[in-house]
Amino acid sequence: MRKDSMLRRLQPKSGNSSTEPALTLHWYDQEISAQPNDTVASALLLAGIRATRKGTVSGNSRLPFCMMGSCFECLIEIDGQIVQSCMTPAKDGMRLSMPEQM
Amino acid sequence: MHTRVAIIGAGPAGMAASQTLAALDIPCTILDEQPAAGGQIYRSVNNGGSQLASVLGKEYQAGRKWVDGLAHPDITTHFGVSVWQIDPDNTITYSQADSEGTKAHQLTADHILLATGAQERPFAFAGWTLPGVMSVGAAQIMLKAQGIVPENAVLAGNGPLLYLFASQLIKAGYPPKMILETWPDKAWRNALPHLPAAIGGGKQYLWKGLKMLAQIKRAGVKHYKGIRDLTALGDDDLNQVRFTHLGKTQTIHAQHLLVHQGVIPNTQFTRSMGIEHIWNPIQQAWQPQADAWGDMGEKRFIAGDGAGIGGAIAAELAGQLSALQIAHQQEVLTEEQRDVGAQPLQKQLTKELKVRSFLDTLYAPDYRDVLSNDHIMVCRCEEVSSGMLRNHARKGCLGLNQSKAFSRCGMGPCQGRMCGLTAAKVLADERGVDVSEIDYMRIRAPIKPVTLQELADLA
Repeated sequence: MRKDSMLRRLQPKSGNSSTEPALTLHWYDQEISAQPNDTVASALLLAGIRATRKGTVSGNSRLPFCMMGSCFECLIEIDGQIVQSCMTPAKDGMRLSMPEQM
Repeated sequence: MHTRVAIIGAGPAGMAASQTLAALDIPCTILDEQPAAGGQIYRSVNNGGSQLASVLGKEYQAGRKWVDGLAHPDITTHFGVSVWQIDPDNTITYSQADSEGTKAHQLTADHILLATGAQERPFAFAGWTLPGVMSVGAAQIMLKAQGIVPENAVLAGNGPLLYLFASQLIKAGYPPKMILETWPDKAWRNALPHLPAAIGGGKQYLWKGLKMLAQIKRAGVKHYKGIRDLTALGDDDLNQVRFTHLGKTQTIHAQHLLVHQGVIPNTQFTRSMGIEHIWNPIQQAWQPQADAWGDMGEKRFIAGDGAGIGGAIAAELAGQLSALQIAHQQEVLTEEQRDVGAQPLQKQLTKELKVRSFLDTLYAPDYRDVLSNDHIMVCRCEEVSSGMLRNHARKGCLGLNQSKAFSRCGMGPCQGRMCGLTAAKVLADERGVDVSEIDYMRIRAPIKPVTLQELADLA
């Protein structure tokens, strides 16, 4: 499932040495590290996850598409609730999985 | 809870409107779905975005003054709230998450101003559901909010945002691998008559466009113009992109394909409120019926891109104009006082919109591929293809409300946001009528999914 991500986080310009504390999210058995300004969707994409949902008819893989709450491709299950991961700020310790078939 | 004016959306239109109201001592409440003010255009401008200042440019930084202006005793803001119903008596129902879970709340308002902005036009092409394909707007949101950039991305489609994002990636040190630009038939011929107006009123935009194109060229980014048959290929995620240019088909390796085909008004709210919508043939999109103040009747207003695409500056001006008319209707301003305030804004707005027709015709969406290929997924949620929609039309399906019954097209979680326009285009093509004759879907509250618990909160 996982490939080399090819998404990169730009590093703060030199002189700004304060690194923000990292958060840890749990995607099944995998630990996903995130920053406080991440949404759950951005953290999963940056980590190189290549399927966060399965199509309801064909079962093919899907990933967040619009990142602004319109397309609902990013629906995942967080601590038992199905939510739009692109609209959900990342919080330490979140347990994430694909949504059960809706 | 009650408020004099409820503003939905804290983008340029909503922020500007709130500040005009506050200056007139009219208290207002802004509700926004995002964690902070700015809308999509000024997203994260006051938090985290600052280190990206040089990458994102001056126009983006200009949003700061509006976000700072929200710190006013007459302006109440609620972020991270999802509005899902607006009743005829102007009761707004929304959900908000706190430490104990998500709860529903209600707010009544004397006036409601919708400043709900735009969404990207759905751009259906072969393979667009594959992981690795996302919209240019989505990638730009990640750049603004999280400082995340794609490496070696392929950009495809058309519109000013395509150039803007390419130039931002170049400045960030991650130039795109390639730009595959679609050109609708006769784009230049259709756009040329609008060029004089664009030069007259929007020189700065044309100049900026030329500068971005030069920058793309200088950076050595391969830029194909007039591509067709865009196809995303891969087993269960994106691996290759195929396209045809000047009759020659090429396949390239890619893990990130970012697509864009302009923006359209977000009409979910206005439709769910039963507002009339009119077809804008130049922008090729539906927009709610409103007067020059954004008044839709019954103390409901709309300002900004949600009323028709005009861009951020036009949205700021429209928001202020709506606020003046609301103040007049609330008997805070006389007609004369309102007009004194409005005249310079109207003048600026007219000038600001002069470039639109040129841009809208030059960067018109190209539907030729989806209209000539029956295997393109139109409805991503319910997986309905262009060919299936044609089939429905042949069986007598006239519009989008009927195609729901045939195939569930538009009935998934996105509620037609990602398929409505394309599906209408396919049905219109098969029936041989103009797309404006295709009945749009009836949109009903809740316009965002809610839990039974949230409904029970209101009991």
